[in-house]
Amino acid sequence: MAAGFGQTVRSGRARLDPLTLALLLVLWAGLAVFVLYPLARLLASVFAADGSASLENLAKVFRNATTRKALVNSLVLAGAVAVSGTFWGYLFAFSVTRIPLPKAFRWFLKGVVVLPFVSPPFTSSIALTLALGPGGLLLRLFRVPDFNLYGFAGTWVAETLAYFPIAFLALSAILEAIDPNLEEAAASLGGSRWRVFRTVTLPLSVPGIANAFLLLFGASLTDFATPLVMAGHTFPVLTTQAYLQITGMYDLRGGAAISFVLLLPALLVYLLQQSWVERKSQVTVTGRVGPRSAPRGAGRIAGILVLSAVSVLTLFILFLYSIIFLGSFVKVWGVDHGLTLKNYAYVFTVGWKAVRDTVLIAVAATVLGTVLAALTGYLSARREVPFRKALGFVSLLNYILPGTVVGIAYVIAFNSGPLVLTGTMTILVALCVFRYDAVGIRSTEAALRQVDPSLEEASYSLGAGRAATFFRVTLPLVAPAVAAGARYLFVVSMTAISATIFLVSVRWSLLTVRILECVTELLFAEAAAFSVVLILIVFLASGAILLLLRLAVPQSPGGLRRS
Amino acid sequence: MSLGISLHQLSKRFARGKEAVPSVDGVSLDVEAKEMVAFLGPSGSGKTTILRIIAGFERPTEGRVLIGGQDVTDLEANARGIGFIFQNYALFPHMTVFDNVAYGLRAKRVPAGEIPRKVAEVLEMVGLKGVEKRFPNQLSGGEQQRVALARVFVLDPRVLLMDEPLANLDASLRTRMLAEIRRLQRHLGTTCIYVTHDQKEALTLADRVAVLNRGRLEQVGTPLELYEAPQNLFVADFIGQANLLRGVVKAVSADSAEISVCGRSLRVRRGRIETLKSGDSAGIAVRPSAVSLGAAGEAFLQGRVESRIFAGDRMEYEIEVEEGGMVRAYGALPGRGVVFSEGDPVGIHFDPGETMAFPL
Repeated sequence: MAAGFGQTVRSGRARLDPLTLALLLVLWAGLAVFVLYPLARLLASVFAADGSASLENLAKVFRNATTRKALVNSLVLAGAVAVSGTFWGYLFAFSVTRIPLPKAFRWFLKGVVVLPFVSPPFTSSIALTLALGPGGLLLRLFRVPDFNLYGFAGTWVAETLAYFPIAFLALSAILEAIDPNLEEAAASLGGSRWRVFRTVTLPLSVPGIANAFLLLFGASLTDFATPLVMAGHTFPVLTTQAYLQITGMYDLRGGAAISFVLLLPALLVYLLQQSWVERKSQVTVTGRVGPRSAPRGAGRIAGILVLSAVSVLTLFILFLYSIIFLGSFVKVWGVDHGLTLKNYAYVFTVGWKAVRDTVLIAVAATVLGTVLAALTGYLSARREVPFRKALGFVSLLNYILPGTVVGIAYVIAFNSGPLVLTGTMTILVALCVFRYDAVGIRSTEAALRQVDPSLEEASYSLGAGRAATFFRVTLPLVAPAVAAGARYLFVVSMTAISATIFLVSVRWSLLTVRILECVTELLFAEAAAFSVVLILIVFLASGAILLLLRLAVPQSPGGLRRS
Repeated sequence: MSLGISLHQLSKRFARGKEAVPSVDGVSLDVEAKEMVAFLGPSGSGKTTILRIIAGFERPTEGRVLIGGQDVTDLEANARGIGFIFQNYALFPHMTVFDNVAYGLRAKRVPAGEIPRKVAEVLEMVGLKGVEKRFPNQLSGGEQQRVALARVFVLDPRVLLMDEPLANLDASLRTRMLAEIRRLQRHLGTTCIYVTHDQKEALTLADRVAVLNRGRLEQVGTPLELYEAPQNLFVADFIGQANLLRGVVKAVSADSAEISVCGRSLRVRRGRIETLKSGDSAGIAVRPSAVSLGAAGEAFLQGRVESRIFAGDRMEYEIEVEEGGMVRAYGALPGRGVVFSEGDPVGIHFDPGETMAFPL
């Protein structure tokens, strides 16, 4: 009730001034053109045949044995990845939050876990291929004559490696939030370490486990890059089938129908996950009071077991990344291991256009998207704007939908009709902005809700206008959240493929698409060089954004938020 | 330059669900230039809402706000020239003390050359020197409070509004800051409205106190007036303490009323006896200091001592009245008068000159 009261208290500033109104109109226009319109065109295409409403297109999908199999495969794979990814995520999270480790080692673990986030989507696939594919390093080392990496197993391993960090983040947040006093209380009541874990720690982290499971399920279900490289012909999944239907059979309508079949489970998983997140907030901590004791560690044996498992996987990840790095300096992987720079020469000559285009698109998307995210977050958190809920939902829509669906919707919408944009930079930038801005909007909004409105009122009463207040008080206080959104936007704009692959053209090419081309042409060394360059760019840009933040907002020694 | 404030029939209703709940209900009040008025009331009485309306953070549903005779109801908060002290100080956490204090000067486009001097002057005035480069979270609560004051005083506000500014300080610091605020306000001659739920704060600080209850203005007056001549039962009870009893009016004369309480007849000379009519119910307020205890049997009411507390300079009794209800009374210390023990039967007298009656 108190919160609701707080809302209405602020309604005094609810009148829409011209500036807010103009912002709202621009925002809604963008959302209408780049979110609602493509989705409407997609639905119209799926549910129409021969000019009238029909379920024929969907029926076709289910009549086809391959797509039926692809649906089952997609779900099985997603389930498997969710289980294995959550398992590894929990082990890593437990190591970082519950085992006393040297600080440097803890940072090292966190750093390794972050690697897949800043890598192009094929990295683990390429590295696995180089290690375990035909003529792979490990196979020759252990003299395994024939081993088929491609299919379910390879896709499963590659996706687990790519997505377990998501589980790590979700789970370490929740393990950190569990009040150590609860575990201490259980121990002082006579529980052994294992008993404490089983009866307190694990039950309290169940919401996080469920959340991680659903996040991974969704990520795997909608993953396009990994199965494209790893699944092969024997293990079709929905995302690749939709892509092949369009690029191989030139059947846009059929591809749209397949992507629609993908949409339903993806949406269901998203809704489930959201309800878990809501429930999570009741289960775990409220504001903690008083000094926090160090978390109780695991027992010696358990600690050693967990740490060894974590170390093995960490080493494997490092091994894969060093293969990529080394592979980029090798003449022909598996054949001639002489060192060379010709792969980088290739990247900076033949591949240069893709590098330049990708950076240009990512920078444009990041700049536009960051401004948009800051404004949208501000409007929805601070102003009583009409249709606030709808605004929040629509701005999240493209983010919730699988990339394949969004890509196909864009192709359908902007290939013909009133707005022809395919083949332009505009459409690629718009796709990135309206699909990945969701994270920036959400983090800005969350940060704003933590900033006491009295700070802004203080600014007004000291004589500052709305613009000055926004730029001098509000924005600096939420700058870290805005910057986090910007970094995310840049990284995903650089590494995205599932939606963008439908929109590249001769005029505008993307690094990820070039990497894919190299992989399909078996130019693994060149693919590795492209990947290394991409990872470097992402690291540099990420650092640059952090530096900008430091320069723009002086950090007070104790952090920004007062207790 | 200090200006007066006029509130004309101010109302604020919040939509809660479908009904409109009044938070402020038809409040009119004139605050003189250079005057310090305290808004006193329990939580939910609407005192903070009125303050926020005057500041321009809220818009009234009805009514007007005038500052120095000028209608500012439709003016934005940043155009009102008001200083506002927040309960949590609302210091900008990402700025140093210097930047916090200079914030308003910069918003006003004061030439950059003058800012350091003005900031230094005002920090000296509030007793804070040499903390310019610190951030708010490096200051103690009292220091943060002084920065909040400096940030407002540097702009030489026409009107100062304070929203429970001492609520976050511990008791000893509160007493010091109270004196400090009073000194600064007198010294600068700034018109000031001070919101609090603490009657001691209101009575020591303010020239006049406005008592608010459920969005309505119950009474405005000097602290002495409120204590000596409350206009209704709420004020009689809220300012100081009072025993409240219910009675029926028997007869009313020019300067007194005869009221039947617990079956006994009581003559009352104070309160709002001119508004009482024979046959009405009336509320009686008797301050504990106007209750005297004596031997059982020959008194106005009979009771039994329920509890006795040693309060330093006196004994405080809770008496259970035979006819029902509790009465609080003060008594002498041991060795200086009669002392009763818990469970003792006692006779209860009310001092007719100190007993007040109000219409219910």
